[in-house]
Amino acid sequence: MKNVKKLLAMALSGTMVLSAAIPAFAGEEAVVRMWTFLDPTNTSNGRSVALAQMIEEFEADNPGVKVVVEPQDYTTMTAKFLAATVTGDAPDIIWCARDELSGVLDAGALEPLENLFLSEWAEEDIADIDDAFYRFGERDGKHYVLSLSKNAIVLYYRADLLEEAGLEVPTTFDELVTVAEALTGEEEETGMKRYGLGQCFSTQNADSPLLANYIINEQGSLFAEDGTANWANEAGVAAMEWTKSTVESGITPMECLNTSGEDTVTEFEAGKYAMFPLGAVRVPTIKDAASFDPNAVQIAEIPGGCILDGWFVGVWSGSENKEMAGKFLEKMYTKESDKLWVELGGQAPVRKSTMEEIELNESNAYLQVMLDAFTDGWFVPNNMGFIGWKFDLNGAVQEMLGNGAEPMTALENAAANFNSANGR
Amino acid sequence: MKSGKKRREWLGGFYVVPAMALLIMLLIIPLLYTVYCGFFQYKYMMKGNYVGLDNYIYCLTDSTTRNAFLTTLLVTIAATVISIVVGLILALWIDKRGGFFAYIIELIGLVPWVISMVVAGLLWRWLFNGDLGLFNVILKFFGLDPIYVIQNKVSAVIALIFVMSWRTIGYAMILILAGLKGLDGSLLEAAKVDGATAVQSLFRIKLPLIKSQVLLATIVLTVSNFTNNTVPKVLTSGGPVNATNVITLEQYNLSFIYYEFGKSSALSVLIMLVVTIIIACYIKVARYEI
Repeated sequence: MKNVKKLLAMALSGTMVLSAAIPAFAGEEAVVRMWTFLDPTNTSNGRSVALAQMIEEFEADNPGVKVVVEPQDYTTMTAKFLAATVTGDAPDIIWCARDELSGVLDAGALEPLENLFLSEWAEEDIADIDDAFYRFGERDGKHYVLSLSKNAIVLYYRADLLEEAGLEVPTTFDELVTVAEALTGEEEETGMKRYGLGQCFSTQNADSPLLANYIINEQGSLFAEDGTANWANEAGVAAMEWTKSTVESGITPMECLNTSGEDTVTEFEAGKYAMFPLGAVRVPTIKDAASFDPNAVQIAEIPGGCILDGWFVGVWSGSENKEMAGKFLEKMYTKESDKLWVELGGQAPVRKSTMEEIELNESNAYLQVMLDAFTDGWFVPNNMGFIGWKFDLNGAVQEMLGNGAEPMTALENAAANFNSANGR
Repeated sequence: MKSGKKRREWLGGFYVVPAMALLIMLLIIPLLYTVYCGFFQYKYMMKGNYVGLDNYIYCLTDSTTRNAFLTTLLVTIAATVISIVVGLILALWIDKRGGFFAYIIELIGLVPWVISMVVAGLLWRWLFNGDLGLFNVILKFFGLDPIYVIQNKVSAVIALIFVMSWRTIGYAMILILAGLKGLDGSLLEAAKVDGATAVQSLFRIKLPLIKSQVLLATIVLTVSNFTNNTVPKVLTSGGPVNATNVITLEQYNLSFIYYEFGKSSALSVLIMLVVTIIIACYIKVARYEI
C-alpha cells in the first residue's frame, strides 16, 4: 500500500513537471498574439465583428497560422505591454494609446514597418494613407505604427432637442453655453432633470476635457516647445473660468466633478445630457444604446478644433513571429479591411480612396464630421512623452471646484505635476 | 532503520519541490525584483540610472503619497472595525437564534464577499448616482433633496468606508460564527449555573475563547482593506480632490498613468513593510501563536 502511495505521489509530481513542458511541443501552428481592447467574440460590437472577419480571412489565406486576440483593459494595455517586453512575454502585435506611443518608441519596443512590409508598398499606396495619423507614428524617417480607430474628441448632441428649441449647433464656446442653457431643464415625459452640457473631471478615467480645447483654441497648443505644460497662463485661467461658469450656471451638474468618461456616456444614453464631448468612434455604439431616437445622436466639431486621438498598432521588436505579425497588421490595413472597419465597425476610413467610395447619408453623416476634424484637429506632439495631461487638467478643475482654489494656483499645481511626471 | 528515515525525509523534500518552485517563481523572485527596481529609475520599463534610496525618499516625502497613506489608514481602520463589530453582533445573534431565518441572514451576509469587487463597486456607484441613482430616487420620494454622495469630499470617504465594510461583514460573521459553534457548551452551562449574566458570559467566556477567530478575521480584513485597489478605483476613482485617493491608487497612478515603475516599486515595498508590521503588531498584542 505504502509503495502504491509513493508511486502515485511520484507520478503526480512527474505529471506536474511534464504538464509545464507539454505546451511547447503541442501542435505545429504558428500563433500571432495580439493585444487590443476589442474582443472578436463580442458580436454586439461592430469593430469586434469586423476584426473577427479579418482574422477568419487571414487564417484561411495562411494555413497553419492562428491569430489569437487577448483582449485587454485599454487603460493599462500599453503599460502592460512595456512590462511584458521586459519579461519577454509581449504580444506580437500591440495597439498603443496615443500619449504612450512616444515612450514605447523610446523603449525600442516596436519594429520599423519598413522592415516588414512598408518598403514594398507603392508610392500611391503610401499616399493613400499618408495623413497626420500616419506621420504620428514616424521617428527618424521610419514608421513604427499604423493607426486604427482614428478618433477625434467631438461634441455629441441631440439633434431632436436642438430642433425642438430652434437652435443651431454651437460653433464658439459662448454659443456652447447659450445652447446648453436653453437645453437645460426637466424632461416632460420622465420628470428627469436634463443638463445642457455633460462633462467629466475624473482623474482616473476621462477623455480630454473641453478645458483643453478652450486653451488650444486660445493659443494653439497645450505645451511649450520644450514639452513643458503651457497652461498656467491667461488662456488657462480663461478656460478655467469658463469651466467654472458651466457648473455654476447649472448647465453642467456639480457631480461631474468626480464622474468618469464612461459614466458620462451612460448618462447621455439615458437622456441626462443634451450635449457632451467624446471620441467620435463611439457614435455607432451610442446610437445602439440610446434611450431616445438613435438618429438624434449627432456629432459636431468642438469650437476651435478637435483633439485627435486613435490607436497606433505596431509589431513588437522582440517578436519571434515578426513577419507573420506584420502580415496581419498589413491585412488590417488593406482596402477590403478598411471597408469592413467602416461598414461593420462604423469607423472613419484609414484610406482616402475608401472615403471617396462612401456614400454619405443620414446614418453615416458623422463620418464627414470626423474627416473634417482630422483635417482641422490638434495632435499631441510625438517627439517626446506627454503623459497624464488630461488627468492633470482635470485635477486642476477638481482643485478649483472642490477645494475653492484660485484657477491660476490650480493650473500651476497641475503644470508642476505634469512637468515632474514627464521629467521636465 | 536510519537510512529508511533519511530516505523518507529526502522523499518529503522531493514532493514539496514543485510547490516551492512555484512559490519562488511567483512570489520570491518578483518580490526581490521589485526591491531591485526600487533602486533605479524605471521610466516606461526602461532601466535608467541607479538612484539609491531616492525613490523611497520620494515616496516618504511626497505630500500626495503621504495623504494617500493617511486616507488608507482611516479607511482601513474604520472599515475593519465596522466589519468586525457588526460581524460579531450578527454571529452572536445567529448563534443564539438559529433556524431558517438565521440561515437566510447568513447567506445574505456572505453575498457581498463572494461577488466581484468590480461589480460591487459599480453597483454602489450607480446606486449613489446623483440624478439617476436609486439612493436619490428614494430621497426624492420622501421629499428630500438629493445628495451627491460620490462628489462630496466627506460623503465620498464615508461611502468608501461603507462599501468596504458592506463587502467584508459577511466574512467576519462567518469566521466568528465558526468559532462560536466550536465552543464547549458545558462551559457556558457551568457559568449559567454559577449565576453569570449573559453579558458576563459574553465577555468572560465567549470572546476570550473565540479570540483566534476574531484576530484572524481582523488580520485578513485589515490586509484586504489596506491593499484594496478595486473598490476605491471603481467607486470613487480616488476623488473628488484626492479625498479617497488610497495608497494602492497612488501606486496604480505611478505605474499605469505616469509609468514611474521605479517609484511604484519602492512604494510597493513600503506598502508590504507596513502590512507586515501591522500583522506583526496584531499577533504580538493578541499573543497569538502561529
